[in-house]
Amino acid sequence: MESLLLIAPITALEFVGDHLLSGEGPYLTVYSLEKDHLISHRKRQNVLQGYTIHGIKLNSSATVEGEPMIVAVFGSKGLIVLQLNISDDDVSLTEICMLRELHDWIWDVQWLGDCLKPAAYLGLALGHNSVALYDFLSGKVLKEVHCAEKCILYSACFYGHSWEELVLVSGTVFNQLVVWGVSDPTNKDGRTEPRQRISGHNGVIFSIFYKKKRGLLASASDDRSLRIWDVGDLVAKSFDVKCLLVLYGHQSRVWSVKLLHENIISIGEDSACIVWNYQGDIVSHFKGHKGRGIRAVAVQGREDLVATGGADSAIRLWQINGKSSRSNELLSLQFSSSHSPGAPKAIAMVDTTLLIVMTDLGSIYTYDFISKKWSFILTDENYKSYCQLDIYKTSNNVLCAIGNITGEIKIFSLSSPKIFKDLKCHQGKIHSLSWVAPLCPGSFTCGLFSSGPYGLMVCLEVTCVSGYVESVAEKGRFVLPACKQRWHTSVAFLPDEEFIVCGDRRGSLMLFPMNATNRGQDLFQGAIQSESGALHLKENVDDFVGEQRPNCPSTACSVLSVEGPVSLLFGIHGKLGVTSISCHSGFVYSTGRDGFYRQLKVERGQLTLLRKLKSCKGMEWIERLSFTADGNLLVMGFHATDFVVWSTRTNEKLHCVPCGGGHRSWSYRKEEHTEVFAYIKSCDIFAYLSHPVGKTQSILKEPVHGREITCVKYAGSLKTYEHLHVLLTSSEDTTVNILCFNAATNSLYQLSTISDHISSVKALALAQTKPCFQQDSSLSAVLFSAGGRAEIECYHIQINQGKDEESVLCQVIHLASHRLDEHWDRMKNKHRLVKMDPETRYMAITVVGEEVRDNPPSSLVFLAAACSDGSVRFFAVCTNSRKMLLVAESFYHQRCVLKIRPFVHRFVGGKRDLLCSAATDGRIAFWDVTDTIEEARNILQGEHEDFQPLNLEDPCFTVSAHQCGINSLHIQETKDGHYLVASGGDDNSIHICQLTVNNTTCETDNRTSIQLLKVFTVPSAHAAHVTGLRFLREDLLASVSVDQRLSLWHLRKDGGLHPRGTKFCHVADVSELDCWENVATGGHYGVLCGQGLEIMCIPSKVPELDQEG
Amino acid sequence: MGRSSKDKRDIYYRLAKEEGWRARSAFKLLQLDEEYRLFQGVQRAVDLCAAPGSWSQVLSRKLRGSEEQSGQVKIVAVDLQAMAPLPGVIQIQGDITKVSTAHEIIRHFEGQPADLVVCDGAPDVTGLHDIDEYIQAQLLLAALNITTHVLRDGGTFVAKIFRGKDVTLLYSQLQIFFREVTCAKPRSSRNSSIEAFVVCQGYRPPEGYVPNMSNPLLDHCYDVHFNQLEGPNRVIVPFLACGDLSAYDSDQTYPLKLQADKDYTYVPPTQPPICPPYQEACFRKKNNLLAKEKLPHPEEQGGPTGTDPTEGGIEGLHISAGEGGAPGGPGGGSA
Repeated sequence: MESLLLIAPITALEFVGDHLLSGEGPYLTVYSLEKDHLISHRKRQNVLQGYTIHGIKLNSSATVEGEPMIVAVFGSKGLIVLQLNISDDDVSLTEICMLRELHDWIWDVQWLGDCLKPAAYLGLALGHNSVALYDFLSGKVLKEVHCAEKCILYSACFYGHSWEELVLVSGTVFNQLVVWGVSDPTNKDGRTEPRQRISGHNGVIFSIFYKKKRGLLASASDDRSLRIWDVGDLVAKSFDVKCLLVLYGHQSRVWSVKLLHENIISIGEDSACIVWNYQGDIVSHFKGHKGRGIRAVAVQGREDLVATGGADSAIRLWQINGKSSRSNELLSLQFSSSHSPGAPKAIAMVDTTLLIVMTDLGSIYTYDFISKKWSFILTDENYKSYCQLDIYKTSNNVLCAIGNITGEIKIFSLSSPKIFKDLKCHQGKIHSLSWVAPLCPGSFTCGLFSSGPYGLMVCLEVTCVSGYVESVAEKGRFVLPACKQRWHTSVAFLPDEEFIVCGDRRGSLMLFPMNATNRGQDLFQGAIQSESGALHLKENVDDFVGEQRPNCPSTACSVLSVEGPVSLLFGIHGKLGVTSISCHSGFVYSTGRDGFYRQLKVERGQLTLLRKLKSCKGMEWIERLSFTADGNLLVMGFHATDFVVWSTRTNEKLHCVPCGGGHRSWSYRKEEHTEVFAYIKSCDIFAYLSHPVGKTQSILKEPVHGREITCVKYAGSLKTYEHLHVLLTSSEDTTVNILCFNAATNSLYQLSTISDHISSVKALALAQTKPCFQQDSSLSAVLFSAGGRAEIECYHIQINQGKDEESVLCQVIHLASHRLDEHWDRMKNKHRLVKMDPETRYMAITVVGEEVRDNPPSSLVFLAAACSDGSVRFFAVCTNSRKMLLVAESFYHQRCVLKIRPFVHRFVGGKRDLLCSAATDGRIAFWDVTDTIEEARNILQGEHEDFQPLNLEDPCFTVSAHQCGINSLHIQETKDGHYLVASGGDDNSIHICQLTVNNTTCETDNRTSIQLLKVFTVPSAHAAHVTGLRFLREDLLASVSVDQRLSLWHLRKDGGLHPRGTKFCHVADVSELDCWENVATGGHYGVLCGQGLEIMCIPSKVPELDQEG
Repeated sequence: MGRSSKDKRDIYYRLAKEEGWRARSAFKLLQLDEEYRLFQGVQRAVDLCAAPGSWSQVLSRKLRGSEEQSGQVKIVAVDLQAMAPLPGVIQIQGDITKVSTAHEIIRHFEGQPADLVVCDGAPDVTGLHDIDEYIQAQLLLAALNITTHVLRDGGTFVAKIFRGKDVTLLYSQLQIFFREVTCAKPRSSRNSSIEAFVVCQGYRPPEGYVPNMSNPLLDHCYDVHFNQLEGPNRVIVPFLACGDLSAYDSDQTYPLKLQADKDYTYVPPTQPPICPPYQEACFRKKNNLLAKEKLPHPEEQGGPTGTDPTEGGIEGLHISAGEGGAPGGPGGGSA
């Protein structure tokens, strides 16, 4: 067995010139950071075998350019010294001294010189406050000295370049820093008395750093604070200690601290990397890692670049020391003091250098950011106190449109404002006005949409020739669905020009056809009549609709009919409205003030919702999306009273401007790399300008999950390139990832992520909607994810081969959701039934009766769930109507049900769908659910609004397999028609029962009986709970456990399970194992997850073990 | 999420409060006793790392059951932290790695060794499993070391253990000192937790073993170059699940109304944590006193900041700007 890939927390980082070394499990990885910040991964090697790397120490005394460098790499009790050779075309790591195991934990390592050599020995700070002098060439401990303060340490930090001057600052379990010199005289017990004990922290010390030049010592603690101590020279035998700073800034525990020349850097469990100055102020606050914390930090020699490594296994780079990657400034444009033109009411940025302002007196001004001057454009009294403004920049001009309270619109170009078109489109207030870019760039025409009273939206085509507006023609009239605030907020043309997608103030999304028909007129009138209390308006409307609009500038425009939407998703973005609509690579995207953005598709003239997505936590007002050329998606919106630009790829706020919120007028433009955000505050206009300084790629290694991975599933392989395997993972970080494992390069990358769950996701289930291997090499499946707060989500996933060899496209469509508490709420209104508890967790789920899905007419998929409230529940999902229903349940177990698995018993003339469920009492129950499925199917074909969940009949067989909880379950059908049920317990044991299923079919009764043939158990199969089991063949079983071992077992014909090999794995808290066949070799791939993810290669021939336990 | 949500999620947390235990871990010792009869004939018991005192509470209630017994039974609880007094429990505020602590225990037992030593101590986990398992192992070995000073031959030692990657090394080390070592998991300990307990019965130190606290007991290493890391010869001790199957299931979600004839009432914790390390930090977080990054601010400020008018009114009062023109992304900036 061989480990092919490991994703684990990054626990160590160190810069070596332009290279960065990282520790991930036992693997040392070398990344190259070139001048232009192009990053390449150059070398990866397992150097510590079973240990996790916690520290990397470069021998800095011998850093001659081009010379090989020596690094000590350590973690737990393991230590290795390596020679690192970096040249232009190769990176090599060679052992200077082989991996040694010390007798105690190593907290710190220091290179020590003697009179002959600058780095002859290593000083090792050990777990119980002792220091060893270690000869790394011979691998021997020459001597060990103990501190009189003997206790367990949580951290240690050396200072000194020779054994004689070596000082250790140790962070004790008693919340103290203990400073002692290793060569100081010993007391009568042969131990060294500390030079100083430093108290102050209220928790254990996780990190210590000494900065000789400043004479400062820093400590980070469980009490979530950092402390900076003035100690002077640590080498001096005695010194005074003064606490200079106590810094509270982290939301959680602080894992590490470093002192730089100008800054203090700290990282913590809150996933923040904070840069402080020596006054104790926060200079920068980097957040971007997912989930539970940053574990490692390193600073480049020039002190301008920081690397952080997370529990999410990502590595990120940040600019510091005033050399932020962008320079940001906030300008007050002094609008009111420069003139007395009234108060600014509406603003719009033309580009990053020109701003347009409309005042409450009906005047328009522009501000030039280059000359820093205000210019007057025009005044129109008709537009004072209420006005809508929108602008559109064409290739050589800027078009302005303003609309007023009486329904008038003025259109002009900024270069010749004296030539304008005035028109009256509406009989009342213009509620909104928006330009829409033409589909063909360079065209002289573009669209202007205005919304007036009664939900009437007019589309105007504006033609602009040689700098002025030549003509305005009406192209269409549309009516928005009836509601109180009935006007559009955003419009976009679909690329084929047949439809426009529109979002309104009520949160609805709709589709209008662009070719005029007559059908809409009735709709419009009908809609108006349906408005409550709109009777008196009707007359107005009548003559309005029938009128030959004298104000309309275009005489060529005959009476146009009014179009209603052909497709409507009413109120989908909530009551605060839709904010934007955009089209990108065949999809429609909408944003709204409900905090979501949505992906939709227009198919056969209908608007279909595919997914609903959120940006950062707490950003409840999303304004706009921006798809960057390099494939990133930026989300703009308001987080409380701040304007925020959020990068979905890097998971961070790129900009955060405290502008007071989005209710007042604002505008944002980005051109090249310059970004400007303008807003009105206190009757003045402010502009936040951001320019890039240096280009920095901030993600060196992508994250996978922010917290523990709870489940992993193999979904299939792509046929054309058999080395591309699709895996699904779920995590306590509430997300599900769709990943692609490339077996040719042993790399893993994310295809998509799902973040709809409100609580931790515990389980995944998959129903392939068509055979996995298709001619077109696509993979299509219905995916279920379930977890805490009794929540199930259901998706359709479609994975296709891209155009080139390595690209894989993944589309996710959200089909349905189910929450028990919502189900219960619905039921409560009709019946008095109180049983559900929203605290219920789904522990495991599985798809039952899989073949049914092959018949297209029935799009029902059945799901069984093991629930923490002691029940087994059955759900049905109709993939066409996108509904999920609870159809049956049983509280038979009366204990938390942990695992659930289906199997199918086929016999001549039929088949039975069977299910087995396992609970915390070590019992496995077997159910025949064929009839339940059938019954549910019949019910669901009729009306099911009032449907009450059925009762599952009692299990047909039970077996007591374990002393306590069952953490893994797998079933294998044997060649002779029997079933092997393997279970792994919390009691360290593996239990296998061999069963036979008999079906007696008579006219009245379909009875399934299960007979137990044989039982095999291995009581101490592992040293901890067995959390994953998979039959690779009927005589070969793979198991994983929290003891971090993957074991293979041979099930002999004569009975008995025999060990066939064990492999140590680097993932802690292993929670699941999945295996699939390696078609090329005939062996298997095994993937296991927990605190990370590891993929193993299991050979087809496992040698018989010669030793027998 | 109300104050009752933890009651819903964790039945033993709720039961502990209702039955007056200082922590839910009390049930773990009770269930271990159900299986092993740990308290039978015990006159002198030691609780190491006792705070907040739930195991001492169990010892106090169980060993001093009847009047005549309570006179003879002696219970000593050791912790670095002080804890609220318990009837019949002598407290030593001291360090279990100090020989003086061992002497003090024996002094309280009037020179007699203990029949039972229990230790439920655990570090605050860091989330990095190798560190957490190491620290827990050191705590267990420190407890074992002081136990070798105070336990009588044939006595019993019970301690918390993390079943992690190197737990087999600890098992083999404990087998040197005890006739029988088993790994036990009470039903009140969660299925998913790596926590378990070693029950070490029949103390019989190796011949000529002299208890010594001048150096800590160090944990063992795998034999030559990780041979045993992946080999079949790891020492795995028998496992025993403790507690009646009819007992509550710590993994199950129970409704608040447990019995049909009794309504749920919220019970506050018997003893809230004493001075946790995060106290100050939490206070600052709650009162918005944590240091914050300074965001760019313009030179001038002041004047009314124009808070948002109500939703309905805003449209009439305001002139707003629509944002438009960005190819592919026309948006509405209207208020």
